[in-house]
Amino acid sequence: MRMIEKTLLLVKPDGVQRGLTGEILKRFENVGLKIVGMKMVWVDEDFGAKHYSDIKIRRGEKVFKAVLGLITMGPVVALVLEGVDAVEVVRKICGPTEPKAALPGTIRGDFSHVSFAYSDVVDQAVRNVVHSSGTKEEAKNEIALWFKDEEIHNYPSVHDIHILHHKAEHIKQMRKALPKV
Amino acid sequence: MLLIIAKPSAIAQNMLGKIIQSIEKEGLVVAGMKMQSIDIHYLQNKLNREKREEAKAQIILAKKVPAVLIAAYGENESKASKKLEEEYKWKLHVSQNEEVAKYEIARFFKVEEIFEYEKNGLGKAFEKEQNGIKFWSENKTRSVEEIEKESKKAKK
Repeated sequence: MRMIEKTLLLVKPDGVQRGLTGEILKRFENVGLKIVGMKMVWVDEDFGAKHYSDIKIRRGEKVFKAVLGLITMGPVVALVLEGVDAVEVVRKICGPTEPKAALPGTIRGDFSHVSFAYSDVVDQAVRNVVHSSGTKEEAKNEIALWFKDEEIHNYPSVHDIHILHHKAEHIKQMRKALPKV
Repeated sequence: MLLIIAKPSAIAQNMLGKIIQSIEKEGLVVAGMKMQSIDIHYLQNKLNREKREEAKAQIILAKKVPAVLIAAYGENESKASKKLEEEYKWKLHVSQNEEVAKYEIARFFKVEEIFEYEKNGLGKAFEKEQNGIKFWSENKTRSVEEIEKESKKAKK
């Protein structure tokens, strides 16, 4: 199915250190997105530079250094989420990049509040808890960067029954495919 | 350090977020985590031993769904391990005691997949030499078979 997409989500070091991983995962699971890949990793500067390669051009050297400092500060939890129009939906759940502008109900709106202006003054990357792929193209590249093929799984879950499949014969099949152990 | 496995049933039910929250609520810090299919190591052995047809069918289903392996540490591990098992029953595997945990973590995690970091401003809570972590950092190049052999020897 063409509309089913995969996207990359990172719980950044500030989110991991604040113990928000469980809460964040829960939000994506609640809307019916499937976690098809997950790992905790602590990346080095080389890897971080690859991940943020476009920031240098878009925002300049200063911001690039700041975000690099943030992503290498501690371990991150990297996730691949799968669902209908996942890229757009995940971005909606995360909220806009600037926590100050993010509405309550979004991850950034609920768990952070600082502004770009403040982070400029203190010369720090804005700690906005999560990173998510911006476009389908970006999602594809980022998933390839963070995950090997064998680290991404394809499996049946309850969401296949309740959200994705509506035909009776499919539902029956899917129910039988769910393990109880 | 404990090994906690969110089993295929928990993953298929989309309970991972809730499980991680419970782990952190018990005062444990997640030091390593990965989604991995555990059929080769764990379920295949179980399948070979199992005689009941119904249970066999369940294991075959479970092999198609990945599990999430979590290495977590904290001050009150034994209490946390009991509480987690009580709450989630068969959806979760938690190491029974420290000895078992050492063996289990060595089996599923490489040393570079476990991280020591500061959480919630509480400071770093474990030393690499403590809690059996030195045990597997020395032995990271050993294969699963070698670890199994040694554990059998130790039991004798």
